[in-house]
Amino acid sequence: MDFLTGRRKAAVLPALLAVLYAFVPGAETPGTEYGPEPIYAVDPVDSTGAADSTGAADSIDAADSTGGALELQEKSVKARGTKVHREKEVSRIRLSRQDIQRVAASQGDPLKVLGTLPGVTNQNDLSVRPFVRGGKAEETQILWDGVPLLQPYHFGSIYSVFSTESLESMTLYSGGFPVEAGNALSAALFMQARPAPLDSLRFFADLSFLRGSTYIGVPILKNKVAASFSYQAFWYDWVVNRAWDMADLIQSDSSFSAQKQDFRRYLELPNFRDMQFGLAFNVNERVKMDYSGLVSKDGFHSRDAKTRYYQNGREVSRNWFRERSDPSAPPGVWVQRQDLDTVANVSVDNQVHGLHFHWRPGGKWDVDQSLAYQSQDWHVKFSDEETWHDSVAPGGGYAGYRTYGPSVRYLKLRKEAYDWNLNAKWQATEKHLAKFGLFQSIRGFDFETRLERPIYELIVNGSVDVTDGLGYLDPEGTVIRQGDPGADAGVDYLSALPDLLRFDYAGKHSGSFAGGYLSDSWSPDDAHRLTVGFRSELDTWSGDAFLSPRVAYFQGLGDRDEITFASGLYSQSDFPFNLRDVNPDLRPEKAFHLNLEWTHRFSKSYRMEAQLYQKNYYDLVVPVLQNTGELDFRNGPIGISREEFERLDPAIRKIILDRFGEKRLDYVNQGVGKSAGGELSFFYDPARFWSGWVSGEAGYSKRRDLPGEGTYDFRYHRPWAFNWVNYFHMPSNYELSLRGRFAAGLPYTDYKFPDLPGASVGGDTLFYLAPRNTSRYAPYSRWDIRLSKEFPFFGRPMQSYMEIWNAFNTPNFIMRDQKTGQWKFIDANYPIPILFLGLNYRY
Amino acid sequence: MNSDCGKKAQIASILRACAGFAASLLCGCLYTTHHFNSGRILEPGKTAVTFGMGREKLYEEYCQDAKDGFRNPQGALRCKPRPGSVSFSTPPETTTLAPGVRSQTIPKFSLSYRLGVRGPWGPFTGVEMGWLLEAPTNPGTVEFDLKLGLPLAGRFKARHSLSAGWGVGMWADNSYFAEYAASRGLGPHALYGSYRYTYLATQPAELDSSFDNWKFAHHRRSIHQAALGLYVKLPDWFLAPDFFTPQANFTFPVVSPFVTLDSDRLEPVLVNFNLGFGWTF
Repeated sequence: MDFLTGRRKAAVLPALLAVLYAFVPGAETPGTEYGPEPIYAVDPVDSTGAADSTGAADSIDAADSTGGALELQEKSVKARGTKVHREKEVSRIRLSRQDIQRVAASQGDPLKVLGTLPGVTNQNDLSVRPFVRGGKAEETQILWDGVPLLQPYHFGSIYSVFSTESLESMTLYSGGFPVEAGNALSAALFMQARPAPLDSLRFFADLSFLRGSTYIGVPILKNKVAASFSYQAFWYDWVVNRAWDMADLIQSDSSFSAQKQDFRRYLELPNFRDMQFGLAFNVNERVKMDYSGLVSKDGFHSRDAKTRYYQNGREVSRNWFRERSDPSAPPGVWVQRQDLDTVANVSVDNQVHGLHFHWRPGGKWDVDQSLAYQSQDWHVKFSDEETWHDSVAPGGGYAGYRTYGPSVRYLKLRKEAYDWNLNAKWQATEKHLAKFGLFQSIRGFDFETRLERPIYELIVNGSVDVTDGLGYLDPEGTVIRQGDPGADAGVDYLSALPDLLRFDYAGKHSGSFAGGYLSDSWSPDDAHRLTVGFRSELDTWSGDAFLSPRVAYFQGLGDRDEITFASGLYSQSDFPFNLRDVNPDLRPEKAFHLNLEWTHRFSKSYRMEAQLYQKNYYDLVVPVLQNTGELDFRNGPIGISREEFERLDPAIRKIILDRFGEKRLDYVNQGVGKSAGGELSFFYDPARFWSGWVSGEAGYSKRRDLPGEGTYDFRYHRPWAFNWVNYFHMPSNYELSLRGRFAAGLPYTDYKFPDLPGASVGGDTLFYLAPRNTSRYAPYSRWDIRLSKEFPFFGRPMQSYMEIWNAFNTPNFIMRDQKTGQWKFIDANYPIPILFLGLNYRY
Repeated sequence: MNSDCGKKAQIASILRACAGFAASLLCGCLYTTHHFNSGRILEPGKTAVTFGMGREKLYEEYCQDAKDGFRNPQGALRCKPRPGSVSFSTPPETTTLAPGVRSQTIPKFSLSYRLGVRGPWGPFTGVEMGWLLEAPTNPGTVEFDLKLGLPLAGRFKARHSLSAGWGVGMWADNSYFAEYAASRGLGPHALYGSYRYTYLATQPAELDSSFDNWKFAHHRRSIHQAALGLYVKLPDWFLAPDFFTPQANFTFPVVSPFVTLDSDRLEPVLVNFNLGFGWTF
């Protein structure tokens, strides 16, 4: 514990001590300062390329044990030059399984770590969908063992379908990625499944208040065949119920108890089950095969109170009851009773199966082939429409009956995909490495949906903020005044206006993406590397083929610095099913990337990355509102009945329809956009007990939907953000992890609604809607802490851990206007400090 | 057509439910008084668990002499003479009286956990972190802090430290505090004292007005606290505590944890007598 004693005098500022310490050659902390406790060998700096500053490049064999075909370390081309030169790729960050485990509040989900990386933001604390460098969530392609996934999220994108323990590594390219890394507009995220262990048994189990997970890997024929299985299930609903009980006990308040009972009666919280299988088969020294499968299932059930009416024990209609019930009748004759009715049933089945072949014909070739099948089924059912038909029996009793119409809302969606890809690397000469590949993806969609768009967004994407939908209605903003045709002071415009946007689709369509790529990396000497590649992709929906050229230039500047320049044209046409349904001819969206990066290695333990990027979007698919000609007289934002509407002048009817009519979204390729910014990241690993990264970023992301319209801020981009992830291994096998994020708020469409307190709306204004995304929420900040203690259990490490999420109790869930502080809405962020406890065991 | 107050009621209901839930998760925001801080730093990897007990004086506004109380639009309690006939209208402010203040003393408990993080580091003799849970403080308060051991010549037979931390507040803001503690060794025992400055969070009762304006209202206060105590090391008896520590804590000014009261209506200084005992591992 006195390892720093000799340097105390030099440490005027203790916080800087460790930084200075690392610059002293040979001053690395000895590994025995805390005695014999195991200290992990891999760390974030290592995993992003800083472990070995002097050694030669990894051989293909060595790299192959931790990387897929994409991640192979090229033997000759990249073996030259300094370590920083050899390992540099454009905008790439790779995290190992252990790095992910060390991040607080990751909850066993690797995608919950993404938000700590520069350039990445999430919509809210619960959603794991990444928005990278000012791009849409769909612009980030997620690949699992090289196979692009349809939608790797659970209900509401609360969790991904991945489990950290069954993952080997996660690599994010946030821009300028090479041709073999796919064709997304903004980012590519490679999830590499953990290979089944060929040498010895591996076992892991984790039990927390939230979930339980387990992983087992077994060699069947040593060094030949192995299998793995992992399973995770969530049981937080039980824990939430116990929290209610405890709160109830403390509150000792009957109204609180009633709230608790209502919660239990009406809501069955979303639950998830994930299974993952793996098989590895080393056919011989040159051929390897593996299979990985992923099966997941979601369930969610919501109920609501419903009053039922009875006459002499028989259920009757509400109208019948109201008109005929007699308060003076004997007890039991006329009864009204609170009952339960289903509001929503959600079931999602997801499966992915992949078969991979890896063949190394000789020292200069490396070939990889994948076959994959995946499907996803969404079954969302809402309460049925109930219609009573009253009639009188001969004796004066009730002879009515009820019929059930089809649900007003429903969502049935099936997605299927068959993927094949072939990737090859050829070490043509010592200075050239060629990569080429072919791929095809056949996709089919079968769907029948009828619901409001905000509900779809909530169920599938976890978006609960209604101001998101408000932005679609009128880009220039609008004012609804008393006296406007169809306007009514009693309407809740805040929720009714977004509900005008329908998500009604029915049909099926299928198509295919096919293409190939070719690239060459040329290293003329130890300090220069040039990669030029082309990727061509064709989709059968539009029939358009698009060529994506890409270039990256790496120049080493001495032992510590590397300058990188990259540019390319990227396209993407794997649109959500509904876009193709309304417009099958949509062309691919395109983006031009420009990246300039500087990497500086201060020492073996410290690395800095400064990155500038610009993305110019064009042919973006943008929505165009189309009136359906329908008015919802029951729930819509209209203050007149159908009969009154029919009696109006046709010109007035048209005004009402245009303003308050239901709308569907058409889609056209007319959007443009621009996103640019800079990121500064610092990765540190001064000692084996201390590591982490810190980053700051600033940028902007603008869009313009249609020619002639104004530009607006992209809804899910934060102009600045600061992230810090810190891991600290303490004596006696304690570990402390900190995770902090401080970021600008998201833009939103402001509104003023007199029904809400604090709204400064006067006169005859019923609802004021500002131009799209012209306001911004207050900054977001969250700090999470994880403290764990490892101790031996039957000779193997067991770890207990405690986490506190949102330790400062920042009210991120109340979306406040940045300037006025006014509460505007709520979002799915942690409302309070959440205490999280767990236990894991590793064998 | 939707109900005009549907959305408002829905959001307010969610916020209030969360507020209730937050309260049950120890977001009482009030200062703590169980400061068994001797200025000594635990060795790296060593932990100390301390249970504390004492008594807490609670204040309450009330209407005496057969008067009825009601809340005025600002949320403050006012008293009106009990009328012979029932009146549902709010009387003018000028005809009402300020309520009286009474107090009662109830038991209070705490649990703290501390962990030695590092040994000597730069000019500091060690680093320690910990958390403290104290209740009832409407209903409880949780604090986190980091403590740095300060250097001192060995001949003084003393230890001192500087710590800083935060207490979790209820949304509007948090409490932040800095504490200096010192002790003089008396063989295995020690006499200690500490001073703590707290920039206190807005109290839950004051947060209520936020719901009316849909905007966070802040009401921060500066609190000064001093503690004097004795750390008594016990023999190594099986299962028995390793130490106990009687302590007196002085707080100025006093803040009521349950209702919003101006400090000039309360006692100038609150004195708490506490007893702590615990184990080191």
